Amino acid sequence: MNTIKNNSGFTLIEVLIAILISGILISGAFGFYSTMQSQTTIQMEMSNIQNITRASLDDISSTLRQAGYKLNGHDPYLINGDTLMVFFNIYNSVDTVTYFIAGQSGTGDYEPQESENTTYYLMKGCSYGTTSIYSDNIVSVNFVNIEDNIIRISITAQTEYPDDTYNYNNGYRTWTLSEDVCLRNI
Amino acid sequence: MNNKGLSILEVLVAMIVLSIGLLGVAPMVVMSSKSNSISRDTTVASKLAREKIEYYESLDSLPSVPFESSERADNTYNISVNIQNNSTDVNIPIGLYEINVTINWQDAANLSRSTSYSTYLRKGAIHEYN
Repeated sequence: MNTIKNNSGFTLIEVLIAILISGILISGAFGFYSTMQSQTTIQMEMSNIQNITRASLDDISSTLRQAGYKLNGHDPYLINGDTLMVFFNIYNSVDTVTYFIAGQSGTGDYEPQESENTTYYLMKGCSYGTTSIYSDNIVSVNFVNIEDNIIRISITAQTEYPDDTYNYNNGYRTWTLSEDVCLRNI
Repeated sequence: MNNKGLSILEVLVAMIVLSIGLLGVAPMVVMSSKSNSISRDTTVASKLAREKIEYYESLDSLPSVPFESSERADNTYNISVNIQNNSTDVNIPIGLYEINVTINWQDAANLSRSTSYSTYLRKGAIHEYN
């Protein structure tokens, strides 16, 4: 039977060189993989905050356009800091939809933005329904009267997790979207 | 039994082939960030278009048609508005206007992009609510 004739194997030097080369290769491959991984996470977070700002802006502006509908003399809307109340009439004599920003507790307590690990929510409350979280990761909303019947809404969202490669705002990337809403019923 | 193994040259060639394959995957990262930035711009553009349409919707009466206007927003987006009256068509009711809003902008790679929206506006109230 034919057996292996030369069975002296590798020398220690050969094995060490082989380990060295594969170590270099693996570290290169791992660096590549981890860059891809962190890029994917960043892009997912970015597309998420773009999505939630757009969705929240859509909801607020479509609600705001109803302001003053079938109301006799009642204020169509009320702006108080980051709180917006919209009044119109669909079910009751006066229906109210309120938007505001809340901290972690979810009860409307506003915590200073500097404190870390604070989660912010955009809250939405209806006089004919419940008050609940409308969107995560919204850190600020701003309502400005441009004219009597034009309101500028600005919404800022920030990523859920900090990104080490981003040097501002403790690594949280932010995205702001604003829109001028013309009220039709005023 | 042939136990000569692979020569260093063969191993190197194999490594080169493998790394070319891996490099092919690398543009995926660039592509994902690029398409994300395009979708972000498109979101802003569609918001601008909706803002314009809502502005004309909120007016009691439109400027005289055919109406053309063009303006810049955020130093990036060019908004052009076109309003026309289709009332010469007997099938379309009087007071119905067609509004076209086109947004043009240069993306991060300096390529021209555009998106356009079009809808109908009704002016001169027939239905009196309240």
